[in-house]
Amino acid sequence: MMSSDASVAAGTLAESFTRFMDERESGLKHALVAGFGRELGLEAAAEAWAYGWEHWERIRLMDNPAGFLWGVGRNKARLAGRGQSRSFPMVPNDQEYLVEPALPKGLERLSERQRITVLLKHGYGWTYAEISELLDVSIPSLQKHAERGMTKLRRTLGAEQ
Amino acid sequence: MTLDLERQLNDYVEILDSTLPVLEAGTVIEAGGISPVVESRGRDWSVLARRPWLAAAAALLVVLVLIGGTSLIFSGDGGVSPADDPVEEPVVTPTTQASVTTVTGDEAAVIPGVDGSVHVSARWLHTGFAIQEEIGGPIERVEQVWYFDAEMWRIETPVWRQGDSTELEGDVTIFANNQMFEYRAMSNTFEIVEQDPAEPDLHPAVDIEFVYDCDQTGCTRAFDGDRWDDCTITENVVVLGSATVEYDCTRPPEWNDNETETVTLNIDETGRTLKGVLTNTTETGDLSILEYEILELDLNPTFPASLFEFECPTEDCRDIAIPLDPVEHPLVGQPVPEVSGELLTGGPFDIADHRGERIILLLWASWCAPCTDELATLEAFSATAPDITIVTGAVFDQPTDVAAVIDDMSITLPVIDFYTRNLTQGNYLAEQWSGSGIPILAFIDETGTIVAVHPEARGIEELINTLQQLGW
Repeated sequence: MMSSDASVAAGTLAESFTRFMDERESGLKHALVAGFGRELGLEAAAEAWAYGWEHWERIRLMDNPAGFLWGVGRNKARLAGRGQSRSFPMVPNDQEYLVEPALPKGLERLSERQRITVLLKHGYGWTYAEISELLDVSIPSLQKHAERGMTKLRRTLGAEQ
Repeated sequence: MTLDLERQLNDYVEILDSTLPVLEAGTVIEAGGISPVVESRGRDWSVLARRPWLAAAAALLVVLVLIGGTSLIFSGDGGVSPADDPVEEPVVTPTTQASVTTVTGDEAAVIPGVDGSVHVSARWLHTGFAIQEEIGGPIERVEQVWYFDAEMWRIETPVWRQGDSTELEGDVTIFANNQMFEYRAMSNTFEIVEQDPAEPDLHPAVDIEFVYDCDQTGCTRAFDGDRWDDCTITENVVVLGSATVEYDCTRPPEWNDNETETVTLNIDETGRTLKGVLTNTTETGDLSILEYEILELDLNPTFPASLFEFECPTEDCRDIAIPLDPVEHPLVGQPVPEVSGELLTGGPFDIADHRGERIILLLWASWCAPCTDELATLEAFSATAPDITIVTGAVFDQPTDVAAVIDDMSITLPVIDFYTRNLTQGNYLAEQWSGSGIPILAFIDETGTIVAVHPEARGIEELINTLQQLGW
């Protein structure tokens, strides 16, 4: 049975974890889905958050806990995804959205880092600074990844300028 | 018309985002540090074993996964926190303490190759108990690596549990005790060449593995499934004490992100391995030069004569020991498995009804790029071969996804829907095709025998070569 002190400590931990997760849940999920596709990315995000809670006492003291959990999720996804394709589903088009059907396949053919940068920057509208903080990659490197990724994507889609 | 790529990306993620579930902190906390994800492919079974209540919930959830077609389900059962339920620490074996174990095989053969290289091919029939004794714990899953055309392909077998038996050929990866054991074929002996903890973030040094196929003159081929598909190795030299690998890539290599890599070099296919660590990276434009410090290296190994001899593990083995061609698919020469189901265009298909015909069968999936490449090849070829029956089967996709792809690619070939069949009759590919990966292009003669298999996309030239060899 938990002592009252332990109970209070657990409650405080849960509160800080909940606040942190409320802020970062969508960002981490978007980054992992961008890197590893819908299924693997979602699984990795769930595993990263589970790991985060399990080790929250230690992780909450880190300089960049979100960046650490990104690394955990990335490793989980890479381990689980060995030999698997990164799956980006085709999406239905309607009058509001008209997505080029070859786009998902084109995304699958980018490198992991290119795909993450392209989707976070140009899809989700993150700033380079935000991506740099999460991925712990310098902004010039990210700009290079984004530029090459967009070029490759345009080439794949037959829209090379 | 100019394609507004940024707008396209923005629209795409907006639609994609609407399909992503939100993971609530309360759900994570209630799960007590255990991922609320249950995967049909059987990862983390050891976690379930430690928590019987979760195992029961997981069984229910797996059924829901199969029915609902989603792999992400959250469980709200059981509320524990780190404070009142310390999680059992996984057994972590340092990667530097690889040891050797032996599992007796049923069949094994050593095939001398050209230039002094040695190809080892072996086949083992394991029971769950046999491997359990060696590893000392329950087995969560088994992966294996097969050799095709001297390239290494990782093929994940279905969930493999104690008491089941499975036939494994080539290299094997076994997950047990929260560790990953990689075995490399060495006659009928498995040598552990890598041990990974299941918590990769605790050991970032084993985050990425590069495997090279080498002979005494150096390494000639690198394989990595995800990261180097756009790269050409322009020079690759191994000398005693160090290795330098040069890559000329169309994209910047991803080494400059503070990751630590290890490299495993396989000097030959007898399982001689060596470990190295990356010590320096030089990047000039698209060219990367990677320098490794090699910890152990034997560039001119002496192959003992015994390596070229085959010793039967049992007196009866001479009846069953068959030297295996590492290039040949194990189903070649076998009767074609059951190939039946509903066609996407409607109506049944049963390969048994086509006895007496020459048949080419492609098993594919819409998300597998090599598969769709091969599908396009086959579609183009079909117009030139009216005397060959060509049929395809989509093995993992929902029919709506398959229909979208064949519509997009203007495919006219018949497509059997194995996805719906899988829901009620088990994994078709695993059960009928020995767990092979996709694409599979099988050539079936008039007697219903598989006479050739392309276990990967090989394009029109190889297709025609095979047909010529078969005399079709």
